[in-house]
Amino acid sequence: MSAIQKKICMLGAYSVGKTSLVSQYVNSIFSEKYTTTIGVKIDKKLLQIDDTTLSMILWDVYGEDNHQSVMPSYLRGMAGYILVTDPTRPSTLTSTLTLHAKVTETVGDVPFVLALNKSDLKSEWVAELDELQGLKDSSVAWFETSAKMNTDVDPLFESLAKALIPSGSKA
Amino acid sequence: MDAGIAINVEQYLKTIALGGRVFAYLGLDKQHIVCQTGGATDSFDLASVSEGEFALGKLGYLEGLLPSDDKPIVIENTQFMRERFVDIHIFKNNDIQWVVFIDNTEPGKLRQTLQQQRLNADILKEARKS
Repeated sequence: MSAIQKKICMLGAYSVGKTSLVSQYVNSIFSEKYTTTIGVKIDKKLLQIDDTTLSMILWDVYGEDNHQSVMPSYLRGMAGYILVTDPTRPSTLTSTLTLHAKVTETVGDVPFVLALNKSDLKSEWVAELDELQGLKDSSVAWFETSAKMNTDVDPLFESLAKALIPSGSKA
Repeated sequence: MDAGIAINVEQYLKTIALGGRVFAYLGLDKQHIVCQTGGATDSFDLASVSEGEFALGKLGYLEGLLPSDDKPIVIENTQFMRERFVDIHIFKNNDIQWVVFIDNTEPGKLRQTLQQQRLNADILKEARKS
């Protein structure tokens, strides 16, 4: 048995559902009320993968908007990240691409998973999702998630967790 | 001219910089073992952190931040306790890494309220456009 600890960042534009995904995953709670994040909320979740106990330190970082972008200090030392977008809002698709480019430039190639969140509102998704094909291809995995309905929330976090376990630790 | 700072001036500058905010600090050695603690440790859930302990064990939120470089690291408005905002500063001095916790709850809550109003307006604007 081994135990490891990894920092994972939640990244994306404002109001895409980063905090809701963490809240659903860690506490099984969803709130309809939108509360903006300033700075970073930090949570911890233990996950058993084969013979390894992974302590995920989840950094729910404030969302990017027209007035603020993510400071590099928040990304320091992250082992992987979850990139969240809201396909009901076209602007978040563009900002997802920009943010990913910036993260890669700042910390290099770090494993990430892509969350197309709010799948419970799929009838309102915009058509330009093809723009995200490159991101899907370079991600560890991508999921259509709903924090509200708890759709594919666990697999989202767990697929990244598995990618962070050194191959020698897996059974 | 004396390069030192008169104690009254130093105290005055400290008062201005902190603005009455509560603070605490940890000193860590190269192996991230706690070698010093000080300030209002109770206010930051640090009271149970003892000298000789591995810092990343109890303080998982420091994962990835250590060791610090020559340049100080500042993480503003960290929420690792309910309803509290804390600025974390990490810097190195000789062989000790200092982790300083400064309470920022009141300014943080105000900023959150203002940001909430601004983003609610932005979301409405976006919705009208589409």
